[in-house]
Amino acid sequence: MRKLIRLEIKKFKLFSYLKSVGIANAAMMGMLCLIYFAEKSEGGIAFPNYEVTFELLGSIVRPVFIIFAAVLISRLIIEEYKSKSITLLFMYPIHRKKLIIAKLMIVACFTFLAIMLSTFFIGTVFYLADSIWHFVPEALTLGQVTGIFFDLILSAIASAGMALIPLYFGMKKKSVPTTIVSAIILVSLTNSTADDVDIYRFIAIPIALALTGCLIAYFSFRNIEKIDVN
Amino acid sequence: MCYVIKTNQLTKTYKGKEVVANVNMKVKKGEIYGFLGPNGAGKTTIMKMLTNLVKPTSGEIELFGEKLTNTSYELFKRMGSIIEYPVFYDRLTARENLELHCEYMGYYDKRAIDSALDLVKLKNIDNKSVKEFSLGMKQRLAIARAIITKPELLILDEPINGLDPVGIKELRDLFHMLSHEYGITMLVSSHILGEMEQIADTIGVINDGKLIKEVSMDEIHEQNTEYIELAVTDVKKAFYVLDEILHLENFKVVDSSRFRIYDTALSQSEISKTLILNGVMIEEMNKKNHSLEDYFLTLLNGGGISA
Repeated sequence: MRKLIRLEIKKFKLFSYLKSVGIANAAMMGMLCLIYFAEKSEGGIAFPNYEVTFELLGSIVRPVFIIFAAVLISRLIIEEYKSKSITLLFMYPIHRKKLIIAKLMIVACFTFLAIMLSTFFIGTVFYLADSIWHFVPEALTLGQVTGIFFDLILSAIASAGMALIPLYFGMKKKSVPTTIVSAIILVSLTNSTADDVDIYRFIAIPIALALTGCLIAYFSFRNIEKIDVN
Repeated sequence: MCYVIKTNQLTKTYKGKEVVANVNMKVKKGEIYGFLGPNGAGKTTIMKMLTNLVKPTSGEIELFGEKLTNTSYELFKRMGSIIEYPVFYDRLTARENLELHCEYMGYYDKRAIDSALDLVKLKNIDNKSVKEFSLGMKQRLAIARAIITKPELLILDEPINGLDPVGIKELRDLFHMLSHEYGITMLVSSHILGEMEQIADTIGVINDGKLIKEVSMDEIHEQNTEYIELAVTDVKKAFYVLDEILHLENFKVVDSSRFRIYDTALSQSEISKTLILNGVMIEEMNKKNHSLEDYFLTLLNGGGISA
């Protein structure tokens, strides 16, 4: 399996996506600045404490990388079908399920790591900026750090699972737009913080989402050994 | 007899329409089997079934004496193939594509890549991504990829498409070499008759999803007949001369101005001399060989030689 993952990375030159991840990080930082100045101009405080800040950060980072994952799914799976290179892959002496699972593992691991590391990176930059300019009224306590970290891991796992859901819709028509649009709909459904209720706060929900994602992904390639490849 | 490919009543239906119907084909070890048929006859579908990409609606396939099932992956180590048209990872170079192929196949001979590229005569391609390749180059690269792991069975769908005449000749030589020196069994499809005739040992003629005939080239050659094709201005007069004066028995009118004379008793010059002396103008006269084309057309039309 490690070898299959390595081959996929080599085949699609996936490390070149690190640049895009960097750009996404910069954009998300820009977004935080924007929120800060927008609130300030209205006389409000954007970041009253670190818990709220990281909740907000999470609701920016998660959608970005779930959609990013949909792009990866398109690239790794849907486009292989469209360009027919999947016929090549399926003529190798390797189980088709293994091939697909390798691809999905890349997607899930990427989503998890990208969310973890990006949040960590932006959070650190935010903290450093705060220690210079002091724009967060409440100081960060050790208890908050563990709480934030725990939430982060949970939501990253949930997102990694959820990121696989668009595969199901994309595979129906072997269409890249369908994959990406379904990812956008997915994040807009699960990520709404408009009424100040963050569904990621309840442990059961992220876990259920992660499991649903895996299950749906499994259903999209359950019969792959039996169906025709055209 | 040892068969590498054997199918038993192989059938594939798409939406109620039979694309491949009750095909029983047998490919002997070491031979080049030519799959001949018009576009849409079902050649590619059969090849896809042989490589497990398409599952038969009914019937069975045996490869190397083993029944092909959904999970017979081990068999694919012994096969190389091009199905439909050459597909590559476009953004990678030719060498990277071949390296990937070797890794997936579990084949680790680094020199094999060079020797395969050498065999198909692909040169100066190191810095090009496959996207920039012409169809002919892709075709060569696909063949290189198919033969790189030294398979026992090659399944090549239209391998000479997009090649220039020199390329076709080179590949023909390559196929013969692979067959004779390495003993590789080959299943090659094409709709180009002349090529099949020169490449194949056995020909399977397929039309409308049915395998109409499976025949060895030797047998076809035995059936070959020579004839003289004649174009004249006045058919009626010529008919009279051929029939009444020359007493030819075995000849026929092909169209409004052409005859075919199968009788070999008289030489070409004698026939022309008699015709001219009797006032029949000859526009054209050729000695022809009954080629695979006629044979093929006969089979497809299911009737006489008349075209």
